[in-house]
Amino acid sequence: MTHIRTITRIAAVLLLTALIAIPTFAARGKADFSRLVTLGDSFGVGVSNVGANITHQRFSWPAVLARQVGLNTDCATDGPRCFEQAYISEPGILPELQLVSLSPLTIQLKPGLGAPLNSGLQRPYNNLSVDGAEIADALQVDGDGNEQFSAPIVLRGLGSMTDQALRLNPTFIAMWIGGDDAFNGVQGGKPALMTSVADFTRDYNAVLDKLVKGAPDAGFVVGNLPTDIRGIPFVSVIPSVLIDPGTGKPVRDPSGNFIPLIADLGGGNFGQLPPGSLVLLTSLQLIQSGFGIPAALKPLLPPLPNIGKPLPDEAVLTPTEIAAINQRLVDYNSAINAAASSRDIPVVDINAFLNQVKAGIHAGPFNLNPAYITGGIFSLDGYHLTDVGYAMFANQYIKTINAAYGTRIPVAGLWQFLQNNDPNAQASSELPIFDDAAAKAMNMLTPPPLRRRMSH
Amino acid sequence: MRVMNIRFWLLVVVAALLTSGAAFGSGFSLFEQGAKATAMGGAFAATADDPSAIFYNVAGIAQIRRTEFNVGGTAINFSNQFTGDANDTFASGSTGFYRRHTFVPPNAYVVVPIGSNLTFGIGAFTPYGLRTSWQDPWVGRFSSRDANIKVLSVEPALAWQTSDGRLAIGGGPEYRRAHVILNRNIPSPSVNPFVGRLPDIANAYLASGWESHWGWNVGILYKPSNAFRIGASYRTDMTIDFKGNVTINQIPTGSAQLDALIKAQLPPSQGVTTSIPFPATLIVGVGTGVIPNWNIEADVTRTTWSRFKSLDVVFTQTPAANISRPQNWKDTYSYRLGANHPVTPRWDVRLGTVYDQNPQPTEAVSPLLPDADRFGIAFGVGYHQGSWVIDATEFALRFNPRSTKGVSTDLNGQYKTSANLISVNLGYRF
Repeated sequence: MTHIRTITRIAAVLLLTALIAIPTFAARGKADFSRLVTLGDSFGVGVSNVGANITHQRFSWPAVLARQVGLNTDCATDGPRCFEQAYISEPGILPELQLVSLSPLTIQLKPGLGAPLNSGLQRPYNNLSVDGAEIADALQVDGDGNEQFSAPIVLRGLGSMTDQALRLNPTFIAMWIGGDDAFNGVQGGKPALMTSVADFTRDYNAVLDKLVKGAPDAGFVVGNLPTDIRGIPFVSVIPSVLIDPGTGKPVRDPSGNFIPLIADLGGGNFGQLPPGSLVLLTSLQLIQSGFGIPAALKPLLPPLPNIGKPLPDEAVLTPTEIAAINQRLVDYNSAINAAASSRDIPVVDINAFLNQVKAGIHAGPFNLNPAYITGGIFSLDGYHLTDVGYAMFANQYIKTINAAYGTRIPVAGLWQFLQNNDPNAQASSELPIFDDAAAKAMNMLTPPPLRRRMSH
Repeated sequence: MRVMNIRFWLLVVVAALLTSGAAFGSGFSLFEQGAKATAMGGAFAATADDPSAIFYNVAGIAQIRRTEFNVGGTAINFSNQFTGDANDTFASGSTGFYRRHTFVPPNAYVVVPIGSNLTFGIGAFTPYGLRTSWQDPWVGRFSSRDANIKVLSVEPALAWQTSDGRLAIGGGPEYRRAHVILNRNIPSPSVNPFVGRLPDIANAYLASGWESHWGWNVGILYKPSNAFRIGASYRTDMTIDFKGNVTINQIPTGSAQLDALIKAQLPPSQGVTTSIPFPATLIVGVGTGVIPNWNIEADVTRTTWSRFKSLDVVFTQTPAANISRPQNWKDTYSYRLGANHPVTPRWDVRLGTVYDQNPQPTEAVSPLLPDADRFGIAFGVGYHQGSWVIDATEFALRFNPRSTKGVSTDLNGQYKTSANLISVNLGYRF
């Protein structure tokens, strides 16, 4: 009897010790990155300055993550530890924007067009990110030639993102998708263009279900979405009030008030943009031709053809629209958290990362912030990231994986972006200084309208 | 095991000889001012029986009753490997190394007895010095690429001993000259928007003139019995103020527009001032001859490094460019143990060991001076033939790895330092 009690006690102590000694992580699968597969959108492709080309694709967040876990992103021929991406030659598809002059501000597309570099790969790419992909696209789009953007290049008609991911028999899956479900509303200036919460929730769960069932032993990590679109250059660069192009400062009326731009506030309701409205970066050319400038100012200004005409609805976001978009992102995040946690999938807090970026990040001797052109995080299109930005984005994935799986993956150090360590970076001194109007270049900032899915 | 150890030390010695770099003792002090004392791990304040006593314990020269010259030097080779902190957004994945460099602080002494109790001496030595020169391209270049502090001291000294030789006291003024070079690059505040890379925008090369200051040094040596000796010496602190020039050379970014903007922001080359506080040093040693034919000594050294609060550089034209780098060093102890054993009338063998605390708080560890606690083992021989004396010493120093633990605002990572020192002194007794 006492023996049994003693044995029970010892067993209890041993069990307790074991529970304390073995760290338990609420993360499915294990941290085996030998067959890492990533799913994503243009951020996953590594789109920078509106274009995808090998220079920036090498710093897509999946590529950075892959290198940090010891995979090779530059295999000449495919092999066991090769992380394959659908590389596109310079200047990219679309061709990349380049800054040619700070004063006058001149941003232009690089001439020419890139072409796929390794389209003959005899298996799915490890990085299955597709430019413009919404969550439902992960199940439906297969790149059979009827779809725009990188779908034909990445997916090649071989099946959907999720089909191809499973065909690789993945040991680890990392995913960041869903941003475009909301960003369509930002880019089009209309919250109605966003995916509904119900559809998003259904599709997000369907994607996770399919991947978890198809690869039950794989490690898995997903990321949430930024929940405040304010502060990204795409909507923060152009003020919603009239600016004196000479001084760069807001113009004041005789009573000292700012002069709001006029716009279609939605549903043919024209009027002054209320305080807190956002004007999209892509509207610059419209404003420079007079759109949005109140007719009363016509006698005071040089003859612009469109003075007195309101900015179109898709060029602006009113505070109501901004609130609707931000709320949708909050709802998406609830769906992502619920879908991921019920499957023991850790969630990378990309929302927190973007808030850090907005506050400014100190990295060694450098300071990075969300400022357009000079901040170092956002590329010239105002919402895709720079190489530096993508490396920091990938580091969020690394930190979450380390915490959830007990790994010690080193983060990607920004020292690798030191200009004077990279003799090729000096080639920029050859750049000519163009004098073309900034407006012309700014018009090229956004890709053509995204393909709308049939199912909606 | 024994073979392994020998191999290990051989490796340490060979590696140190091949990959040399910078030089400094605890902080930037140099305690190697004579090959005999160095072979005893620097435990020499209660022995102090050769002319290098002017440095270790000036009272000791009173024991020297023949005129004697002694000159020598220590070839110091440091190596350092920096490894970026795997959690640091800037430095993760980076490595860095000291440039190959051999630093040879010299020493020279003359000792002249006057009458039967008094001895006059004059010594020239290098009690401090620093060289941390990193191989390009070096990720820490925005903190420091190359730092070089050269110091030379001259000390005339007088010592007196009682006729029975049991008690000696000595002292002298010290005239110290020093010269500082600090070389670093200036980073861009953020990216170069034309290429999306983080550029260097200028090099700042600061060189001071040779500046000087006076201090003093006293010592006492007491032999209560034939078997025991007690020695103590004290060297004052001093602060040397430097005037010099900083040369700012802009580094092109590849964009004429950006270069023009940067040029407008960069301070011009101009005069600068800085100052370096040197610590006071107190040495206390106890020696014994209780084991026949063996002289064994143990010393403790206290160094008042807490005087080094901050490294400040003042720009005479553009105060906005002033630099203030907090140091907040701590006072340190070092512990030294040494033995001298005559094996034949002509040959002595010596052994020594030292544990040296570093004065730097983690926050102050930087490429300028990545210090660490260190442990050293020395082995030396002395040879006497007629009037000639030759001392030769091999001294290997192993530093504890030093991590910035993520708290550095400059550069986070781990520094692994090792050093090898070879000291040789040649003496002549009249």
